[in-house]
Amino acid sequence: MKEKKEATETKKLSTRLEWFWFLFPSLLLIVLFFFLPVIITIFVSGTNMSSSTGFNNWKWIGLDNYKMIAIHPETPKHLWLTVKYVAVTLVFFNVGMALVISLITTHISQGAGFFFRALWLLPRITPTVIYVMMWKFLGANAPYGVINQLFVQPLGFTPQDWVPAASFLFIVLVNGYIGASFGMIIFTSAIEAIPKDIMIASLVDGASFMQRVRYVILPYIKWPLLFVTTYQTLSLMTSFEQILVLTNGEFNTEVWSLWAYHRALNNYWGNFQWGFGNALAAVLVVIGIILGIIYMRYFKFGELVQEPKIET
Amino acid sequence: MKEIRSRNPFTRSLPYILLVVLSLPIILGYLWILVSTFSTRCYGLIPVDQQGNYFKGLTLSNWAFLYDKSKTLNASIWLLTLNTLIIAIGLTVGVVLVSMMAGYALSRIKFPGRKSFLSLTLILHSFPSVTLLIAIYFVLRWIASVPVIGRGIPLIGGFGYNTLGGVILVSIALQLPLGIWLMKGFFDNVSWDLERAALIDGCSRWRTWWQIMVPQIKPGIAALSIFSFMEGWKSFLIPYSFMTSQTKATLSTLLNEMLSETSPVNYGTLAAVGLYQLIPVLVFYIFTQKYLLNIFAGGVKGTA
Amino acid sequence: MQVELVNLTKKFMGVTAVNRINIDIKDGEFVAFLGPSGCGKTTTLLMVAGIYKPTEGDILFDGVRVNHLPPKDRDIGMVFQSYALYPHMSVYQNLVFSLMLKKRPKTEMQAEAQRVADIMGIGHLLDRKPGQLSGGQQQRVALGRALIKKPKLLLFDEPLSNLDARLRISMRSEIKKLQNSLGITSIYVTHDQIEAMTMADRIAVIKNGVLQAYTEPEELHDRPRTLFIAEFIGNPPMNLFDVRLEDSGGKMYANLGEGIKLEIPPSRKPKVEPRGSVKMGIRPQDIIIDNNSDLRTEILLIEPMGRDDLIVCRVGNIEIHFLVDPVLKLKRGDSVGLKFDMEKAQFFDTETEKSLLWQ
Repeated sequence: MKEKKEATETKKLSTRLEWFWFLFPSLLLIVLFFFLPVIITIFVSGTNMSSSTGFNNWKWIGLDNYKMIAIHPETPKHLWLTVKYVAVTLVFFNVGMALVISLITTHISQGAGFFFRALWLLPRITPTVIYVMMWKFLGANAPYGVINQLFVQPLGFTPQDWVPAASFLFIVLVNGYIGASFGMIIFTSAIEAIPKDIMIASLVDGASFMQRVRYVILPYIKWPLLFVTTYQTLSLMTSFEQILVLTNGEFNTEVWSLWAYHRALNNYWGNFQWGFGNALAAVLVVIGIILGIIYMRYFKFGELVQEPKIET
Repeated sequence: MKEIRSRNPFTRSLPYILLVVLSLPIILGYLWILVSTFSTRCYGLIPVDQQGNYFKGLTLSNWAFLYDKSKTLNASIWLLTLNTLIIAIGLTVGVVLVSMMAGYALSRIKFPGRKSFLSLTLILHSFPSVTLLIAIYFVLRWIASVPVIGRGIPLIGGFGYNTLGGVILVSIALQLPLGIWLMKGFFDNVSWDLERAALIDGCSRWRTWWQIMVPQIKPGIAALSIFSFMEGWKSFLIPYSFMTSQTKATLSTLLNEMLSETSPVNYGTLAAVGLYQLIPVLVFYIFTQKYLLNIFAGGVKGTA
Repeated sequence: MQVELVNLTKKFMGVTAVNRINIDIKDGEFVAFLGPSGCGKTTTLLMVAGIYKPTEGDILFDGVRVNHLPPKDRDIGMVFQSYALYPHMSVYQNLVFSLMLKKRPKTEMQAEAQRVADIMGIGHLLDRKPGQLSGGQQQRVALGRALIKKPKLLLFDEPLSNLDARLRISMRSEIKKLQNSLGITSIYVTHDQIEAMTMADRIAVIKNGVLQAYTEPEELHDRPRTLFIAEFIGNPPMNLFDVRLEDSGGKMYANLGEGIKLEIPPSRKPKVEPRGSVKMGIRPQDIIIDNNSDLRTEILLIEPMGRDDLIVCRVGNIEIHFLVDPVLKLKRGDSVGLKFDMEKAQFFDTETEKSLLWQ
């Protein structure tokens, strides 16, 4: 065996840990604003911490906050509202309307399809407050409201302020018209990815539009449908920004996540019940983690990860 | 896709009629903003003057808020615009830079725990981060107690509670999973040989990243930048929750306050301020729709 | 620069891509790595470049172990199949990028760029972007970029596969000439045996990550040591027959079955006792038409190949391919006699796939 000389090691530690520095800013932010908050949420939910105890005089109370949720007189009300709100918005808008819009816009002229999809994306990009303001004035009392002017009065009904009168309908509409665009985009690209041959074959076979939807399109977009359903269930369950601006939880629109937010951070009485609020949030966090893991299964994860082809 | 062709004009126009009916709230809503912005008052979609005469009272006076503080609850619209701009730009620069770094490492560098980090990003991508808002409040309170970083930085105030910097930091973090996943996807599509050539030419990984790889994913950077800017520009909940001592912190929080005002609301001014905030977003949107579609569907590829 | 690969092994997640390869390359030598796609030849090259780290074994440059040296410190230039030019930089910037990284003065960069551009004939393209160039021009720029560093070792990863056939032939001789005049040690990865045979001083044949042979082109063609090499090298491919070796009256015969029995001349007598059955190989150009021969057959198919016609015929179950001069104007169905030039025959052990003639 010949004697081997070794080339001087030019790689410093800093070069070997390159990947770490690339990831460092993200790691820091993820730890600060995801990991730490999850731990804090669960930890604080076990205390009686509130603005009256401050950060120093709180006590460890174990599962008392959760017991309180269980016996709280308002729990059934908020729970039922949340379930109803998520289910109705999901079925009629985030999935249903999304499907209808993407089916129609993929079957009319390309220009028109593009225009209407752009129109439906507007609510998503509009600042929430402006968007909600728009809805408030659509439903405002006579003589200002658009709905009263165009539909209620001409048909001879009594005009009224519709936001409080039909508060549930309004929180569904306000969120639904934003939520529908997410599914719309995904369904549209899925429908457009259906092989042309198959669509043409179904035309040749004499399938009607509805038959085509039933037997060709729906089976093809099964996965996107499942994905949109899980993803949107999660976001509907936890987002409250629009409801906060529209009604601030009044008129029986306090969904679970808004309840937590109000209790812990923002209420009229200035008594912030951090412990109880965090317990309410922790329920959603746990559901979120479970659904998040299920959702990751839908992404055929292995297929998305390629091995690096450079090893220096 | 095949167009629906039918000889019957009714059948042919049916999908359009249906679309218009379904889209009616959007059409009417935005129409209302436009009309009331330029009217003294509005009865539905019809501009009226003080006396309630139809189709009278077209005016530019609603735009007086641009120089008259009293129209906007005594907040300077320019200061609020600056604040909103700082948040939007801070968020954009932060998200793009941090995602570009992490996306590159995840796509291109072999290191222990790479797969776990990737699946973590993916889970966080779907994670309902608003549920963490209460706990994030604690984190920001803690950062605020750190000297200098907490609340001693000019322009953005610092990175703690009640500062612009804190709002930016939280916004970046919540936007990060999407950004990282997106940037990783764009880096995945750059040829390996290109990077190998750079390494052989004498680049370090840092230089390869900055000088060779980043220029290849410009479309992705453009898309993420526009998206982040729009998100920052319109952000409401985070500034509203974490800048409570300055309730007029951004255009969104100002509008919210004007909207929930109990005294008679000046609808015209409200609509004008709204339109004022909406215009940059709309302009961006019209010119960059195609890029943005990628983002809205961000990271969803691979599900179908 | 002299290069040595010692027991070089690469595993990807437990799967062996390169298995204990030993190759030494002399200073100034042009070596081709030849093998079907996915055989590990590019992986080996990337280990030499420092892009991949060896799982086991060593890479030595001039006797110095460089396993852990990053690519930039290895004094190498590389040309890629996809050219891999930096799309956002002009041709000039592409060329001088490595010099720029070394912070060389501007005048030197310009002079070097001019020198390389003259060699490659790309002087008029310096201001263009790679996207505005043809494939051939891009490959010249890529070659120029590799040369400007005056590397001690040039690596080629299938550099001609993306070019059209005519350009490929002219670039082939150009690269060979260039390498000859500059005297830079070169490794050239290809799956095209003609490229390897015409350009390389020595060829390393690799299959499934294992080095099959490492020798001069003529040797590879005339004295294949394994069945794989015999089949892989040469165009059209070698005829292979299952034979029985028979001794009778001091002479040795190869019995192909179907009544064909050929005498093996003393020079081609197997030197090794076969462990299993035997395969005999003979190249199509070593079978000639001889109408005096006892071996008669009917022409099944004629494939014109330009200079020659490839004839396919069959005796019983045995298919025979051979080359004839097109002037003979043979037609399908013609009956011909065949003579095997047994001085060129090869014998292999079917079980070990090793040659019985050359070890």
